[in-house]
Amino acid sequence: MDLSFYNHFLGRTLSTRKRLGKQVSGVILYLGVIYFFVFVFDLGYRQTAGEEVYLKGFYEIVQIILTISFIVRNVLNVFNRSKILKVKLLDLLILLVLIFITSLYSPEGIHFYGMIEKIPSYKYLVSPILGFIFAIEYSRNAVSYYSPRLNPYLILVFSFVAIILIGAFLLSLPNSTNRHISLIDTLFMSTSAVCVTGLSVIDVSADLTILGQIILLVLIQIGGLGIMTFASYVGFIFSGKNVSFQQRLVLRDLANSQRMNDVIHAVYKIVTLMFIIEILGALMIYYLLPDGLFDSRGDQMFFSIFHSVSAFCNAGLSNYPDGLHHVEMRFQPLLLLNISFLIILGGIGFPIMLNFYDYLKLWGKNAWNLVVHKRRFRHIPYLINLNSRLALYMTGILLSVGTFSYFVFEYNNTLREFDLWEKIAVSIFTSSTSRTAGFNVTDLSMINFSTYIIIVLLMWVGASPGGTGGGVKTTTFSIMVMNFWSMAKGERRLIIQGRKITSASINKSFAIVLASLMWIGVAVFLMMIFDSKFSLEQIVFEAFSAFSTTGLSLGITHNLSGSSKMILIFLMLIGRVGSIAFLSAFLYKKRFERVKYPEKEVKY
Amino acid sequence: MEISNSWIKGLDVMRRISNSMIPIIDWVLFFGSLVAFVEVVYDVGFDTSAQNERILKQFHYSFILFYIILGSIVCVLNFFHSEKAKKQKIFEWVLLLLYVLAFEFIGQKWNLSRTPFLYKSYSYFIFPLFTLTFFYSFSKNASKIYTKELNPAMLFVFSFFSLSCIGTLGLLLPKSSVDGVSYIDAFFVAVSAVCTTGLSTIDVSQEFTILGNTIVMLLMQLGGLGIMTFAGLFSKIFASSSSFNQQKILRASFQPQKTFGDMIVGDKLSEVTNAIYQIMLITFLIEGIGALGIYLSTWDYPFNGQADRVFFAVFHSVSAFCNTGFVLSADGLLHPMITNNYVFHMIIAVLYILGGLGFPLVFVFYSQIKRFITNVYRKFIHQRHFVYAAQAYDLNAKLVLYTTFILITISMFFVGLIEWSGSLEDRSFWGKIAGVFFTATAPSYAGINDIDMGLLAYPTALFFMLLMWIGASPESTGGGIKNTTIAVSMLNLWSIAKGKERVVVFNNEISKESIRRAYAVISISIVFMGIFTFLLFSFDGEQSLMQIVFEVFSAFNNNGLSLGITSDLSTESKFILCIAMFVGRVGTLSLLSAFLYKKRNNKYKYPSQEIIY
Repeated sequence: MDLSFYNHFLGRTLSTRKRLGKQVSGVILYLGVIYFFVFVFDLGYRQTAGEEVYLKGFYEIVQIILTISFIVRNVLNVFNRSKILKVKLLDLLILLVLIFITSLYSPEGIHFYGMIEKIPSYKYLVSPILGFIFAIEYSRNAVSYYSPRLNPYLILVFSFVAIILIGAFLLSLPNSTNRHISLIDTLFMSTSAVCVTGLSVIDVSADLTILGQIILLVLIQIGGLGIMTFASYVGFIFSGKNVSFQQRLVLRDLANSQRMNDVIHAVYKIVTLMFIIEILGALMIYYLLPDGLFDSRGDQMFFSIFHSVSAFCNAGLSNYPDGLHHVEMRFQPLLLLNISFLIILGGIGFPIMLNFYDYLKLWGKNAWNLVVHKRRFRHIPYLINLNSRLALYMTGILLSVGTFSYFVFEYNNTLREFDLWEKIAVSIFTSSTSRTAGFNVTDLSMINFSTYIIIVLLMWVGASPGGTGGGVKTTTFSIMVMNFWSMAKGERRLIIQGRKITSASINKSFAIVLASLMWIGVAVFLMMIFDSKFSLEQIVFEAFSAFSTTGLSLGITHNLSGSSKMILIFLMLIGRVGSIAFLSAFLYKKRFERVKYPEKEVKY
Repeated sequence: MEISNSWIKGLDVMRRISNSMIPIIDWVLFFGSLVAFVEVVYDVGFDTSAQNERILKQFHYSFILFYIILGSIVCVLNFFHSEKAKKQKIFEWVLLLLYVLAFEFIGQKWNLSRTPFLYKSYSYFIFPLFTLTFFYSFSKNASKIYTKELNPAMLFVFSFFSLSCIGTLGLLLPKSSVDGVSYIDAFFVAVSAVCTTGLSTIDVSQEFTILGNTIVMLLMQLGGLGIMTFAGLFSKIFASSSSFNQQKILRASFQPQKTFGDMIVGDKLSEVTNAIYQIMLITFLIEGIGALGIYLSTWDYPFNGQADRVFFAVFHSVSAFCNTGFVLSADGLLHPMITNNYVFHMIIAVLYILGGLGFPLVFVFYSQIKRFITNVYRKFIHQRHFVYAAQAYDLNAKLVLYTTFILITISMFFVGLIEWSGSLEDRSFWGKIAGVFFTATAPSYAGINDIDMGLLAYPTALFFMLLMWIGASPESTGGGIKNTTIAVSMLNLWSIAKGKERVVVFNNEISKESIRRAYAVISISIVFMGIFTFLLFSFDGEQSLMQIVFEVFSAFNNNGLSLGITSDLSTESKFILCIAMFVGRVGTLSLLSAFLYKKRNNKYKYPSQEIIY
């Protein structure tokens, strides 16, 4: 056949194509590095008119080089059989986008589209798109940076550290800030955003420009997607290679999901779900905001998006002076409820949300079948698994306990200025915000000690696993409670809802609880040394808040010493990564336990 | 043949009579001795007028007669009683003999009050005799309670509570205190002593008389050894035969946090009853040596008399070994007279560390020393080889030793680092060393302060709270969640972080049950301390959080250090602290299981489920 010649030709050119493909990728990657610095320079510094011309020229050159590279790559893709179709399509899509923007700014294009007024200036449209293309390219090549031999926990910690450092760098650009902010403070803010904490050492609304606030928002968004996405990402990378079963288990551990395929699929679902919820949330906030508060619609829109993202990611940073504590904000019960709803949704956690999504889908299908086809309901046993149940029950219990006790203890204290409905709304809000979001409505430095203890407890327990919230997680806490309950009852196994909890789970829960207390204890100890001017209450609150990535504060964060801020930065990082994962980053080793030792009881 | 037949028949009748009679006489004797005991308490605790004394003498006389009559009947019937242990019969004979002696005594010297010395020796003879009789018949009847199926945790709670109440009554006696103390203060001190805590709302050394302090000492001793050990000892000596059920309860006294299920499996039961003897023996041995040491180290101090000097030594020896921390001077060890007596401090430190290491380990030390001495003896007298024991230290002992060593090293380092030029500044070099050692170990064990707690830096106070929480070793007189708990939890944390599936230490795997229990103990202790802090703060909001948390840690972990607010607390708070001490002593898990424990069958299996965090 003719094809034999074709194949022969393909075979002969194989090495050439391979080399060419590699060269193209290399060009893109090196260009990316240069592009990144120029882009940052462009964003972060004020340019003279002369520099603007050079910059435009640079962007045009990069655009041309990229377009050529992608044309070459797409041509090569036609002959490459081993490449997956999806990847090829992505390459094609990028090429189309590049051609589109080229055409958009060519004289013919301007003529063709005939809407020159409405197209944003070249720089603002093209430079982010180019940056985005480079980011995609880098992440696709990440395969070569990671090796399956590496400790996945170490990669996790390093990724967070890297994002924090990049964030701190971006935040310290002249265009991001209105005044000079010290290095430690930018690092603190970056950590606070990436770890979705919300503790703040600066006034976000006054000290950061719009650019700075956008950077903060992006950092929050990345941090909010967090471990789940990261894990699926690493999982995706690993999945192409020979991954040991052991490593799959670790990844599964990180991603909190049963199957590896789930993880990869889940990430698409998660990102979609996240954006849908955040957009809906932003719209709601936009319409619930009182009129006349902002200079322009753009400001109001930005406020809504910022708060929607900040709430859903459980960050709790606000770009408004005084945040939600502002007089115009705190008397808006519907706004508060809307935000607390976002917080709770974010804290429920993606695996559990997906679990409920499956449940709702089944229910909807059944209802459809019943109405249209007159078929009976079909049940899937245990569709909502024990994890979801535990998380849900615990969320319900904690929320109601928090709301109730805040309402009762603070009725005549911080809640005095509100009317009854507002009181209830503020109680619900504070209860949900304590579960690691960290918005302030009332002045927390005025609260009673009883409220203080409840809030600390809520912060420590935190949100549900796999979500944007922090803390030791609701499931950990439920296992802790159920364990001592069943020990006291004299049961030899831990059984919850007809399921025996594996001893590995119990041990892990134990380790998490102990490690969390250990980290917090060490931090409090050190902070007491560095900032002895503050009382134990204030420091303990601060430490719990940082570790659980909540961001509530009794108002001492600004005045802490540099060493204490550094401690809080570490605490936030450890809290976000997970206290055990942080230890594992340095201790974890793949091992096979072939030797069994005699079991012994220990006396207490 | 006929003669022997009727002889056997006669014996059988007598046996039946004795079997039915003895329980009745026992009860009569019990109530009689109860009355006598109350009279003794009255005589010791209240000021008695001369006229009363005459009546009391007559009472003594009649009770002695009463006992001699009933006691001799019992002793005669004992010949035919088959179930009673031989030791018990002998003891009853000895008791009867003593009463006869007392009768002689009281008969000859009727008018005793003229010769004070004789009067003193009279009361010293009669009062202990009556008390002994009471406790003997009490324990004989108490041992009957154990034969019923009873939750050991419940029994434990009940015993500690009743001992505290009796102690309170004792401390409320007019002669116990100098100017009288309030109910809550007496209760607080009694609970504090029984729970071997050492917190006090009043100054024990100034407010109580010798009698009061003796009561405190007795309560400490009883509490320290565990009232169950005492009751177990009595029922072991006197009960006819220790049933399996009783021995199970005895086991509970060693492992208060264990449940029935745990008690049945495990070491051989008969070893436990033996252990009680050894506990008593070794405790008194160590306390005796300690008291001797203290006696010698305080040789040149101006006491009121030899008796005071001995009492001082014994009190501190008991207080230290039982990890209580009551001290017979106004400012604790800061009293100018003893503050520089570092030998005295070291003796106390060694005593409380020994007490806090736990009996099993002390047994090992004891038996090793004993073996060494025998070996040396055999070597030099009989020219024989040394004999060594195999595996003296088991997993628990090793864990305890290593953890204790690590903890003491770390805490000495910390305390030295922070306090060397702080609160210890004006001492000599050796004084500083001794101070660091004492201050670093006291929070884990006795809670006697060697330095001024007011001068303590805040970080040190936080560190002390950690040490108090960790506490001493299991099966010891010390408190806290026990250092093996923290060892197991750290090992668990370590192996989880390393990605191991099993917790292995010293070539042994730690059982899953143990890890679960450690988890429960830790979480429950935090929950309880949180609740107590919450309550205390709501009653005494004017104190700082640090002081209150410190107080709660100290009370709950039976330590006894304080930042100095105990006496300023409100009555409600004092009561809450009493509960905290009590709960801490009994063990939170055993306390909860006292109410929740249910027997259940584990015959079916459930599907297992991993939990995500």
